Amino acid sequence: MAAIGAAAMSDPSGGLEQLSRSDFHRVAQFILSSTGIKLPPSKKPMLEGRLRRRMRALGLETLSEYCAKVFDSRDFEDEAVNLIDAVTTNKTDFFREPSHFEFLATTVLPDLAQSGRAAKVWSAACSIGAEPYTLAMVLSDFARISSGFRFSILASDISTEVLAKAARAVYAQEMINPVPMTMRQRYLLRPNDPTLEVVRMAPEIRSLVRFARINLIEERYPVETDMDVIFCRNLLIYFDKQTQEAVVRRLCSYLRPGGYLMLGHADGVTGMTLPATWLGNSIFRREMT
Amino acid sequence: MGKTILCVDDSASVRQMVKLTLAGAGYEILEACDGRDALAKAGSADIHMVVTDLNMPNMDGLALIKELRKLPAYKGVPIVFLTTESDDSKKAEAKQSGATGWITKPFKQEQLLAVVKKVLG
Repeated sequence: MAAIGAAAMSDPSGGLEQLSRSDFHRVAQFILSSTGIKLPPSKKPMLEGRLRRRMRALGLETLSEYCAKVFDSRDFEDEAVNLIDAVTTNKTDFFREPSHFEFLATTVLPDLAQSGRAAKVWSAACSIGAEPYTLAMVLSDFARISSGFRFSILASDISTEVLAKAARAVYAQEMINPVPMTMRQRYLLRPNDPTLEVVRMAPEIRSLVRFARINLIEERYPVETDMDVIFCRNLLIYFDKQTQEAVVRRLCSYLRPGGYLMLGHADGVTGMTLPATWLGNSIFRREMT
Repeated sequence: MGKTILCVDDSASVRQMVKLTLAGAGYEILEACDGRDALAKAGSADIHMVVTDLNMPNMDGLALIKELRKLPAYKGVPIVFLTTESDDSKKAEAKQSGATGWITKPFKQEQLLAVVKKVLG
C-alpha cells in the first residue's frame, strides 16, 4: 500500500491514465496538420487534461479508447471538430494589452473618421469574445464623439465552442474588472438575480460583432481584403516559425495599404520579411504601396 | 503664422479629432487634458480661441471658463464648448459665464470647422 501511495505521489498526473507515446504523437500530428498549432512534449499533461474531458463527454473509460475512437473508427469526422475545440480553447481578457486600444482610439480611429471611411476591424483569434466586445465598446465610444462614424467588426476563431460562448456574451463578473466604469454602465447588463456573479454584453454591443469560424492556416480566408485593423494576438506562439510567418504575411495581405496589424507582446516576428513597418508595441502598419 | 486654438478635453481621441480637423485648415492646436491643465497653459502661448469639453476631472469646463474670464488676456477670447451635454440649464450657465458657442458631440468635423472660421475669420 505504501509503495502504491509513494508512486501516486511521485506521478504528476495524480495516478490518472496518461496518453501513450504513440497516441500523443498521432493527436499532436493531427492538431498540427489541421490547425498549425504545435504540441511539444511539454504540453502532454495539458493535452491529457483536455482529452479526458472529451473522453468523459463520450462516456468512455480510457484515453486509449478515446484515441481509438477518433483515429480508428468511422466516428472520426464528428469528433475531429470537438477534439480541435478541446485543444485550442484558451482564456482571454477584456482590454488585454490596453495600449493597443488606446492607439486605436487616439490615432487609428480619428484618422479613419477624418477620411470618412467606415472602419473595418477583424479580431482573428477571438476566443470567447472578450477582444471583439472590447473593440465594440471602444468603437461605440468613439462613435459618440464623431458624428457619422461607422464601423464593422468581424470576430473569428477555429473553435466552434468558443464562438458559441462568444455569441452568448455572458462573462464571470471578475472578467470585467479591466472595463472602465463608464463603459460598464453603458454596455454591460447585470442579471435580474443578483446572486449570479455574471454580466452580459448589452444587445446593442452584441449586434455589432459578426462571428465566423476561420482557420488561419488555410490558404485563403473568406474575408474582405481591405481591413483597416486586424487583431491577432497571442496565437502565433502556438505555431512553428514557418507557419507563423505564413500566417502573418497572409494577414497583412488582407489589410488595405496603411492598415494596422496588432500582434501580442509574446508573438515574435524576428527574422520575418513582412510588407509592413513595425511601429513598436507589437503594432505593424502595412506599407502604402 | 496661423491662429492658435487651445483644445481642452480629457479624451485623447477627441483632442486628436479636433487637431486633425483644425490643423488641416491651418490652425495651430495646443492641447490640455482638463481645466487645470488648460489654465496652466493659458498664459504660455498667444491663444486666439478655446474649444473645451464640459465634464472633465480636476476642473470642469464651467469652472475653467469662469477662471479664464477673470484673466485680462481672455476677456474677449472666444470660448466654445464641445460636449455630449445637451442640458439647457448647463447651456444657460455657460452662456452666462461668457461662452461664445456650444457644439454637441458627436460632432461633425465640418460643423466644428465652420464655427471656428466664423469666430476667428
